[in-house]
Amino acid sequence: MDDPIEAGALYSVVSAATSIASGALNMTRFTTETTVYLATESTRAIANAILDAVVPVAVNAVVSRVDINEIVKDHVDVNEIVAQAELTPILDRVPMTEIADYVIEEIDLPSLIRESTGGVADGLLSTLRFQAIQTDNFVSGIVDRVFFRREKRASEREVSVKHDDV
Amino acid sequence: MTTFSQFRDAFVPGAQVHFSALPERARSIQGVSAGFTSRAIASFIDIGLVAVLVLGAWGGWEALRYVLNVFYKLPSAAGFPLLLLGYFIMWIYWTWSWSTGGRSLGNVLMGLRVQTKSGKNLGLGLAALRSLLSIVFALGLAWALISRKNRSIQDIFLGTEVVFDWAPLLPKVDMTFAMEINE
Repeated sequence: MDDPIEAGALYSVVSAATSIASGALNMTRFTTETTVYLATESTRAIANAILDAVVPVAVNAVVSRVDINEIVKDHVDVNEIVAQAELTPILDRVPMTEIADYVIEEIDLPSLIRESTGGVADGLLSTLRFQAIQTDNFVSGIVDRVFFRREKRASEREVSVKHDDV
Repeated sequence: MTTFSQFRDAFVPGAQVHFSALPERARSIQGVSAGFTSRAIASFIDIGLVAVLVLGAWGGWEALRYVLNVFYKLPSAAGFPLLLLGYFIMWIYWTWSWSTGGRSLGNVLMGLRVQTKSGKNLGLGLAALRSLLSIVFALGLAWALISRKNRSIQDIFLGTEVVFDWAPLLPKVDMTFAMEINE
């Protein structure tokens, strides 16, 4: 390698050959990668499509043959789950006042109050009032009969005195 | 038994649930014009109250005179002035109680309320007039026996009525919802 020109030519040839080889290698790699990618993706898409079609049917077939309630009962501790549930948002959705009204109505709280507070005096008063009303009904009934009236007066309602009123 | 869902279904949205402390059988007569007997008893209670007041005041006054005056002479029956005083106090008392909520003591006890035909409280002037007419012509109440709407002569002239209203603290009784639930 004494001749500098010869050495230079050799270098160029080697360099070109290396470049071509490298390019070919890269192209091969690109082609391979692209092919693999496309193959993977299309396989996945096809698989998904098949699964989308098959799984619901399969699951439905399975589910319709088993009692999920039984499974949950056997394998899930419902109390444990409920114990972990956040109560506040549930309570926020509960109509408290309506429930309170309902309970008051159902246990008849007003009558409990009536019976427990000042029961005797209140009962006497109610009795007096009812008796006055009964007397009125009796008297106005007579008067209306004398005047040949057919309609009853508005005040003439069924308010006979019963024990549970007082 | 009503279940909660039945209760909810009967619930009118926006309606105020009003639970009544009244006996169930008394609910249907609330706001209905009251008859002669209830009103007469109420009046007698008021008259008795005023009589006790007047006689008490007179007795107290005489006792004071007796204590202060050595030459005390028992009064001859001072009937007429006392009667006038009684009328006057009665007038003031009824005017005051009817214009401030429509109830005298007798009304409260008998569960009655005096109101105008449109259901409003009596104004001071109307109350004073009705009170005066009731005192001067007490027999006018007897017309409630004959009137179909249980109205006394005073009621007819002044456009007032006396209704059952057993709830002492509430100005108006709305029993609609409570009645729906009970049915």
